[in-house]
Amino acid sequence: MKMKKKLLIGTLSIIPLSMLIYWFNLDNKLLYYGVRPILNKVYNSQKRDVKL
Amino acid sequence: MKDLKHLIYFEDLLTEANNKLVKQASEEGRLALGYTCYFVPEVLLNLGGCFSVRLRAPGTSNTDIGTYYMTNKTCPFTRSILERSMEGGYNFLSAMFSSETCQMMHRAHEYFDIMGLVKEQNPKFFMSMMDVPFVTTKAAYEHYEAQLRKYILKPLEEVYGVDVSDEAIRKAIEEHNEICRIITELGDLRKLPNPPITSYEFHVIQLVSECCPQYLIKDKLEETLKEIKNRKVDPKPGYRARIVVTGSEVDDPAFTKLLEDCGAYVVADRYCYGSLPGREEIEIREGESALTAVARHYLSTSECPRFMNKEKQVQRRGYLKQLVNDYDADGVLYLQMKFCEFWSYERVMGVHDMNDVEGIPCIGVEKEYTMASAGQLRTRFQAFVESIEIKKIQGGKM
Amino acid sequence: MANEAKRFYKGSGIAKHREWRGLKDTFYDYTQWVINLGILAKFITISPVRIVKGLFEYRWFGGYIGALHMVDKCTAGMRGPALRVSHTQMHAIMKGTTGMIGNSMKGDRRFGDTKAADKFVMLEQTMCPEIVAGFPNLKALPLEVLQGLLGTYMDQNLAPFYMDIMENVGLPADSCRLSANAAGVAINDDYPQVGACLVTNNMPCDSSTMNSQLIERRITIPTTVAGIPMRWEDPDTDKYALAQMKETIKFIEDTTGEKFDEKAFFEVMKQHNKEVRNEFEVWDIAKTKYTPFGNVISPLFHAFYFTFSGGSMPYIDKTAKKALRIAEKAYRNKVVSYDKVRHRMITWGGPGCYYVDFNTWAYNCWGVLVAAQMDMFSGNVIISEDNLDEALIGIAHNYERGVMRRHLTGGYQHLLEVWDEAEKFNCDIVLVYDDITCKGAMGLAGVVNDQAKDKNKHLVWVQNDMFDHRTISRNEMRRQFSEYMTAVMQEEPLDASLVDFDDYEGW
Repeated sequence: MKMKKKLLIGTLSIIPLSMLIYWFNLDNKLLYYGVRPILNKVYNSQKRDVKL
Repeated sequence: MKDLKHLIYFEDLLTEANNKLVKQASEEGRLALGYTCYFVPEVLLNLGGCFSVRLRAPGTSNTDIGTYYMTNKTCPFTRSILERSMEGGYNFLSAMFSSETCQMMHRAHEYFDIMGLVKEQNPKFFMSMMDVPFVTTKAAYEHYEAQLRKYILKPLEEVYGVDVSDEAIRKAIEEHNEICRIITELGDLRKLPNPPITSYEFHVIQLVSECCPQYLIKDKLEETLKEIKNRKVDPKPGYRARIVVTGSEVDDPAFTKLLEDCGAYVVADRYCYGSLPGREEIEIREGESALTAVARHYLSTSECPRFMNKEKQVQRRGYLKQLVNDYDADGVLYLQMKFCEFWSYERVMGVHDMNDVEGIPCIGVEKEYTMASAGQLRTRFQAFVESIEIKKIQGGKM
Repeated sequence: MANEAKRFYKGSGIAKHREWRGLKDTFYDYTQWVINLGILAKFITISPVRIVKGLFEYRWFGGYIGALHMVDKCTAGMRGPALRVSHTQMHAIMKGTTGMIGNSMKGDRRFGDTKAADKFVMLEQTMCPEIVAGFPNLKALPLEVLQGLLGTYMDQNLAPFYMDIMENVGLPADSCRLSANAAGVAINDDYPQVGACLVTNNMPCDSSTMNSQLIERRITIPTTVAGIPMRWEDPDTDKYALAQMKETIKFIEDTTGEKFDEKAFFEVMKQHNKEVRNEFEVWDIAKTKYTPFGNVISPLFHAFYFTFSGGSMPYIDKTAKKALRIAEKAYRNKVVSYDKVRHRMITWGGPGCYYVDFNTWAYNCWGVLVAAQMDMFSGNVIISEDNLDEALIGIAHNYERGVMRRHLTGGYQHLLEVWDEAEKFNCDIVLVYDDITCKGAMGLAGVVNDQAKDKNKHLVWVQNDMFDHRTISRNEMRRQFSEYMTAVMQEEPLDASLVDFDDYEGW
């Protein structure tokens, strides 16, 4: 019963949480300020087979 | 070496498109047929009663009108041709033949239609634009031949009553081949270690053969060939390096002169308006129509980078390498008219392949149509010649 | 909306919070965002490990993390039916794009040999997939567009890295940026190693003819060329075009071992024709003031399905019909989706792809609705549904009339169709993009100017460098347009904060 309740609360809380993420644009903020610099570091450290 | 008897005469013919021989032929009632690209077979513009003029814009000082219409971000060669056509410099033409070979050239030629150029002088004037293939498959040859028939022969016959029969084309091929034999014989002399002809002189002669009515210039070309064959050469050649030049349009002999001044002898002129290809004889095979022979010849000899199929790409590099061997060249110069998309990529790939794959010294340069930037080019050419010399001293190692 | 620029962080252009569109539309936008997340989640399931590997392997792939941001940019200021149509179409674009990227990774031999790799026929540049329609066991995958055009819509910093590579090997900076980017990807070994074979082609222009040759040097699978005629209004070019199509099909058969299936082929052609007919219906509505089409996403949707579906993506027809239902309802109810419109504009020529939302900006800042743009008129060829030769000629016609090719080749009259289309779509402003590397269009610049004067139309030129925002930035593009609006049209902006703002560092 407790488990079911927790699951229900958890599921229901996804909606307001996702609304918060949506409204404050947290997805794009994370991707732009968080993920993007990491990816760029990875790309810049790569050694590619550059040739014509 | 002693100056050529007719050199000044030839040079004079190159000072304007409507030169005195063009005027003479027009006065004799012949049709002046203009073109710029190798995809328009010169030989078909020399059918009975016609003569071909490969258009140039000598003496271009500015391209204000051309730049207004085409902006300053397009090929200066095509802008100069447009400028000259707007100025009325090609009003002597009876027709203009073109192909949608490259975006900028075909745009410049479209202005003949858009603006109704030449029409005022000659209401029968027309501009004809055809489609040319990007590959060399069987269907491509057939397509090219059909386009030649539709966009060159048919309008010439319909508008001016020109005889476009197989017999007439065969005759034109015969006459064309005579010019080719003279130019090829002259060109082959460049293979000698101490050639009796300068590369500047050859450039002038080649251009004259393209820009003048061939029936009026043939005698002088023959005479010049004889003169050069018997010419006494200097004890030592005047050059420091022998180079093959390849690339887009070079219709100003001053460019070759500049190279010579830097110590480079142009042994092979593999560029638009050059003789390689251009002055190979057309062979009519057994059972083949004359038009089929023309289509086959021009499509198979063309070295235009717009041919995309792999065989042609490989063939282009192979041909260049063959020229280097046949003409005993020390290096290759890739030229690209500024803003030319075809030759920009071809130059990048070609310079890499020559230097890094074939081990042939090679440089690539971008150039304007006029010689306005000759100072920069001179520096590049001098450095290239020096690098070749150093390589020779070091026994092939750079 | 009056101070909209304040919603964004200076430099990055990232929104501090999403747009308030009123309760109903904001909630609708939220639900569509959730759907978009679902599409992205589904994308990961195509091949989770390989997709993550691909993200870290390919620099261009990193650009796609800006996808959600792009949706926001392209729907900015939209309400009601316009918002609904845009989201509907955008879902299809996202579904298609993620599907193609997912398949590219799934079949990428770089991450280990896989049989999946041989199930794809790679089509270079803007070549549409109809040619693969007769092979139900094979799928077409684009080479170049995923690594350039689509990614640049999301991240303006994607292409400069690759273009710089080309300039480092000597390609002039005046060469077409789209082609330079694609060639740079090849030199940097950044194409997925996928596919049984590759069909290169001469579309749309000179530079793409040449970059194909360069790209081919780095491709290890068998290649062939589909050389499509340039003078495409000449019916005598059809025979050659047909031969090219047949040779391409034979090449696919030879390299994949698959046999051409005529029945399957015509099924796809039927679907292709449905897509085209839907487009014609869209135009009927787009010409009216009740249109929810236009702006950014509708023309993008057309370019997308034309280039990537060609009848092979069943959801395209469903999407188009759903969008049409929304539009028809709005038309019946006389709902004006774009209620701030002061002018209707048609855009022509090569746009700055790094500023995909230029149209939304023009609407939100100046009340100028882009009712039509050049790419909408690409393709739109009805293909025979029962005669193979005619159908193959139809496919060739579709290529000949492809994106950018339709208006830049085959005669000057095609680029100049802009005036007729402006009339049909009731546009009083004509914007011609001066893509500084597009020679085919620039070759007619003077004629366009002359005709604008003769036709008494408002003509504005906006310079851009297609893929390179460093040369002509988004703000510079805005400045050019705003100057025209104030100096020539003598107008005040609807939202002065949008006239000049800094988003240089952003996606």
